[in-house]
Amino acid sequence: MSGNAKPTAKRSASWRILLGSIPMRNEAAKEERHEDKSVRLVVELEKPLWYVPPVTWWMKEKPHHGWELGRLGSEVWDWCDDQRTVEQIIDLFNAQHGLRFHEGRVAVAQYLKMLAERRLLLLKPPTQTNDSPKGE
Amino acid sequence: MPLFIWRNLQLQLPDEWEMLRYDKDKSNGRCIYADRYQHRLELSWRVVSRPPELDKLLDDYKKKWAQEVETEIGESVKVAGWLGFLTTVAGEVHSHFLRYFPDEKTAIELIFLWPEERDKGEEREILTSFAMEPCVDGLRRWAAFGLDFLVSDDLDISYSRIEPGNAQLAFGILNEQGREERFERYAFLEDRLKEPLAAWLKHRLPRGVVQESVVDYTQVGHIITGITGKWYPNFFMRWLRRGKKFASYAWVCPVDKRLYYLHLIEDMTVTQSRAVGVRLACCDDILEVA
Repeated sequence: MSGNAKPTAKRSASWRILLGSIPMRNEAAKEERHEDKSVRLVVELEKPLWYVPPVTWWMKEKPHHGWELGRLGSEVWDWCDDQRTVEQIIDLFNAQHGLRFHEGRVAVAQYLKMLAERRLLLLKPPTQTNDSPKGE
Repeated sequence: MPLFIWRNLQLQLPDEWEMLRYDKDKSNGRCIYADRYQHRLELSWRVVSRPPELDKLLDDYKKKWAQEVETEIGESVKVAGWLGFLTTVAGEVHSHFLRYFPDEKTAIELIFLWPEERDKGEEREILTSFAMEPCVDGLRRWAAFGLDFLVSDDLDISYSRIEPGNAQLAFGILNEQGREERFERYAFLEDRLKEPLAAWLKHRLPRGVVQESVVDYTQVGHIITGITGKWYPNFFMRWLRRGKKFASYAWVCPVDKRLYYLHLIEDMTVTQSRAVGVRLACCDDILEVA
């Protein structure tokens, strides 16, 4: 009939890799927790050449980058413990908010992408011998 | 198995399968369903002017598939009134099925993707469940993205926004002769609902609506807030007092903890009981009473 429906096996393979990946936190990222449980992540920058007295006399805070994660982003960050896979984080997120799997997948993937782009974490892909998303 | 109804096509799918892609076009389109790891079913439809010769269509389709995709064409199959054949793509078995529904003049194609072994029982169950959703009293049922509603069949889908936890579908266009029916469902209520429901509903009033009354009532444990009034397309029509009836309702379902919203702009009077639970239902509790 349509004849234009192409098989989607290639696309599904990439899901498995993403779901089986483990988000690894950047150890340089320091957490600041707010009262509403949201998290601000701070990464101190390398000391620039100009950060010397007398600048340091009045500029006490070291140069840094900071990111507010918001309530949902903070939840995702908290679940990234260098052990859980993306799939397990999605399951936790869905259980917390009553979402279907792909609703949670899209939301969690957006947060992980944002964190990875800011180099606050990286995704460790599943190993060849352990390609099951749940590590079974 | 949960029921999916998109446009006039209904089928029951395993609980884990979700609709990931959809087309809004009534005459030609495709929906894709996936489990958590990959696409599992592709549903295509096309309205045709006269009944196709399915055998010939199937042969042409096999040839085209073999030419365009690196695939092995396997055996022909016939299941529950559907004609089909098997293919193998990159080691994965796909089963293709075609069927023509004369009442709706629609040809349907279903492609199952089997990452492991082909499950004939599941395949048969899905094929058997497939049907054309009838139009009853000018209304047709839709069920997708957690929304289960009845929409006037003469209105076409005009807007859709599907995001994690949020689904918005609107039908009809608000021009001078306009009618609109809108159905929405929201999660993350801590972020979305930071004011009383009545105030939230008031902020959602479409442009051109003059509010006449606000109602609060309870229906099977659901606390519902509604606003009724008149919608005017422009100032001149308002001066002439030629508006259309407007009704909007919102509630948080105590079962799934989601916020539901609908509004209807039309000529007919829509009573409360016809709107909540009939035009838009959130759970079985509210359906039973309606």
